[in-house]
Amino acid sequence: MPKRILAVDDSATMRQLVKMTLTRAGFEVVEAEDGAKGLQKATAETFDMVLSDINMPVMTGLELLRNLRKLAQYKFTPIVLVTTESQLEKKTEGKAAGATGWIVKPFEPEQLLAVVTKVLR
Amino acid sequence: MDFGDLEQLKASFRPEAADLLADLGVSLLQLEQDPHNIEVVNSVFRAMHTLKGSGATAGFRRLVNFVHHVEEVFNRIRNRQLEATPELIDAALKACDCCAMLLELGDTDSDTPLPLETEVLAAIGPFLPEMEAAVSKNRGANATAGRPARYKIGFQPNREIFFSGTDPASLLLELTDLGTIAIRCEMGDLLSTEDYDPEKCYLGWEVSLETIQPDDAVRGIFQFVEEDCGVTIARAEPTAADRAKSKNKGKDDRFRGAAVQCFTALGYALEQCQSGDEKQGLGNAHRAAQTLLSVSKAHGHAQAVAAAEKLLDGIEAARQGGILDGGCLEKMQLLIGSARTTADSPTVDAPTVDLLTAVVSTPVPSKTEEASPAPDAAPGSAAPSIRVDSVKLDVLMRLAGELLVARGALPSFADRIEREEPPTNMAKEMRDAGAKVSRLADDLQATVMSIRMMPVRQVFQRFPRLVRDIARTLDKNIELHVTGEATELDKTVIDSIGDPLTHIIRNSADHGIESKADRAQQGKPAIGRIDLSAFTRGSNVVIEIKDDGKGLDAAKLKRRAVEKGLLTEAQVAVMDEQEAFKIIMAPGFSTVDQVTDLSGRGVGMDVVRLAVEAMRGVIHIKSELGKGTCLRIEFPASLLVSKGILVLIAGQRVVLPMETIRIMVKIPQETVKSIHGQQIALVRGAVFPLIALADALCFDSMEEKKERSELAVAIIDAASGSYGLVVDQFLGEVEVVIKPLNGVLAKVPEYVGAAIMANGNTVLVVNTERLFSLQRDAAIVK
Repeated sequence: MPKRILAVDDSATMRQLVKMTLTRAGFEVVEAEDGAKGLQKATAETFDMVLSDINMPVMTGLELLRNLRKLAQYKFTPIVLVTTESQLEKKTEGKAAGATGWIVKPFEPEQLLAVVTKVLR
Repeated sequence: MDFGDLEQLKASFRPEAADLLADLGVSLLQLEQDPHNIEVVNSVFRAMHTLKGSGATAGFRRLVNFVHHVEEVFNRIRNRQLEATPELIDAALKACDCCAMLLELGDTDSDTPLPLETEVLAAIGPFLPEMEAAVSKNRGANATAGRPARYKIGFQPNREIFFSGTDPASLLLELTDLGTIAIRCEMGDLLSTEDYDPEKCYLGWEVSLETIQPDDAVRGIFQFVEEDCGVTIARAEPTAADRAKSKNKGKDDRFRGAAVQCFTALGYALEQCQSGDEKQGLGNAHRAAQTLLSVSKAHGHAQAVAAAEKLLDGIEAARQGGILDGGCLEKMQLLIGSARTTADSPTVDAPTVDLLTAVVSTPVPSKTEEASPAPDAAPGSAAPSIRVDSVKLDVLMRLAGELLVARGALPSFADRIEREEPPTNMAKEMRDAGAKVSRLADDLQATVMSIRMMPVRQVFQRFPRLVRDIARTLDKNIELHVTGEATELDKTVIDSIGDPLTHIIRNSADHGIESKADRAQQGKPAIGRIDLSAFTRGSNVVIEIKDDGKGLDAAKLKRRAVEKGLLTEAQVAVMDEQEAFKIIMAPGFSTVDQVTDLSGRGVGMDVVRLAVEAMRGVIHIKSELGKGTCLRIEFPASLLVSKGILVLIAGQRVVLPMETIRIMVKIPQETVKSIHGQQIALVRGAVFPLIALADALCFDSMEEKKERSELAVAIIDAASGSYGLVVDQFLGEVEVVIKPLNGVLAKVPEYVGAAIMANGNTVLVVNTERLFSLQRDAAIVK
């Protein structure tokens, strides 16, 4: 069974990059274009990991993170936030909200893969 | 680079590497003849370099690391810092073998080197002063540069760490990837806590890590938890004494690893002996012991050297002793045991004691484990693939396209019949369309079949090396001349003909070609010659192995067969020279008084014959005393479709394979005579024993046996002799697809398989090759 990853991002290109990189590495990737849709999919299905952008319409990544941690099935699930250089302070905020780690945009596919394999080990 | 790509790359690297290794073998042999030819040195270097480069891309780290050292040697030869000595070329050839093994194993994570790997590195080590440092680790190119550093790491996770989706254990596991590690767990107040919460983390860890990875790699592991957990990372520079110790330890570790491998191999070999395969088992044991000896020598471990030598002597004695009995096996077991525990005396130094405990505690592999290390179980091994000439693929595409078009014409006929067009024109058109489809189907089949055909070059290219190695071992001068490498054979034959050919060529070099002195005495050319050729003859392919050695002595063969109780005096008396030569292929026959290292345990040619027959091939032997021997193996070029004669016996149909039929004749009943209960007939001036096919196959004739004035007889040329096969009626020539029989039927030696006829019916195909010997054996039992 491949590990299932929920990728939440409002940029289609970013989702494409994530999906391509992770699918080819043997993961199963489900996309969602904002926090609310992400939460919806996360409750409807189960995932081994969630990868979420922070700045998104409708529901931000941080809100999604807090909501997910309230759910029993996502209490201990690795959730990694995608941040940009300019919002590094969100790292601490994310950490406090229960993020497992973060990855800084722009990133190389290898970096993404390294983080995913690290937290899913 | 991602994983999916990597798998694809691995799949395409394997055949490429196999080609490179084959080229490398050829170049190395050339270099041996002409050590100063810089062109050849360059081509060797290039092949190694490509192997290394592509291997790295495909993620074969062990292979790359290994090739790197050998390549470095040739770099030095290229820069004229070193001479291409026979020893170095020998090591490089072994390196090729080793690479082939590594390829087959896939990239295992095991750090334990293969015995051959150790042997090669030991051989080239003296030419590479810097190897010692580089060989110690194989985790990526940049890792090998660093010097080991020791870290003390304290890790006290936040109690709530699980709620951030982090598992502290996985971080500790990441640390173990970096190097040698010791982990101590701090229980903290876990035991005194009254309100214990299983979702919280109470434990802490203290880690001592020795690694050649840079600081960043260590720190990077804790990047997500550094801020809210207690993480301390302190680097402790090792003292000079530490470094020396660790260098020694690395060396000892490698030696221990190699020794363990040798003993494991010895264990397997011994089991092989016990399970009846003594020759193979002893051969493997011999190799393992030899490797043990060379690694012990390389490590400078005097006691291990002594033990390995004793072990070798024991195995040698067992090989000389011919048949192994239980007592002999027991003795060998004791020897292996004593090699393991040797030097277990108070005088040995600490690393040796380590070594011994490690070695002694290695469990002897059990039967069930024996099955597991088969190469096909190796990770990454794929289904056998076939490389196809792109022209053939283009033809296939075109034919498939045309077939689709031709098929498109068919439905229109149905429409036209419905419209009740006059049938006169249509009949002709339909016939034309049918003819077109069937022509395309024929072409399609022929092209698909041709994809299975491969040049014999693939098999032949290993023999120059084989002959060279044998010549070196036996101190003979032998030249191998290869012709017809482009001749094509079915892939199944190509895949399985290697071993039988190896055996025959080995026999020619070992027993055929005389020693230097003998050749000089007989006034023969100083250099012995073996000709290996392949050519097509009709729909068959012939492979010939011809030597100009001493030839076969028919009288001696007969005498030997009688002495061994394989044949009676009376039997050999009527044998002509041809039949006498075939004695060498009888089970349990060997002409050589002294069993040599290379061949001559009397199982060889028998096995060769069976293997060739399994591929529906036939062996013919020609020989002239003092002039040489020629072995001719003839195969049907394609195993899938073959020709046969459909015959009727006792109202049933069976097929006789065409390859073994010399002629089919009708002979008058009165020409058949009976001598000692054996019917014989004179056909075209020669006498043949006759067998009634119905009797041989135990077909009870339901019909009254009619007294015929004429008998239908097929004269069969089998390896064991020619004979006549009496059938009721020849029904004609057929093309059949022969499939092997399954289940209990597979054990019936009278048949080679079943064939599907054009009308879809199934008929059995008679094993004409063995029918006569089966009958004769049955007669002897009676």
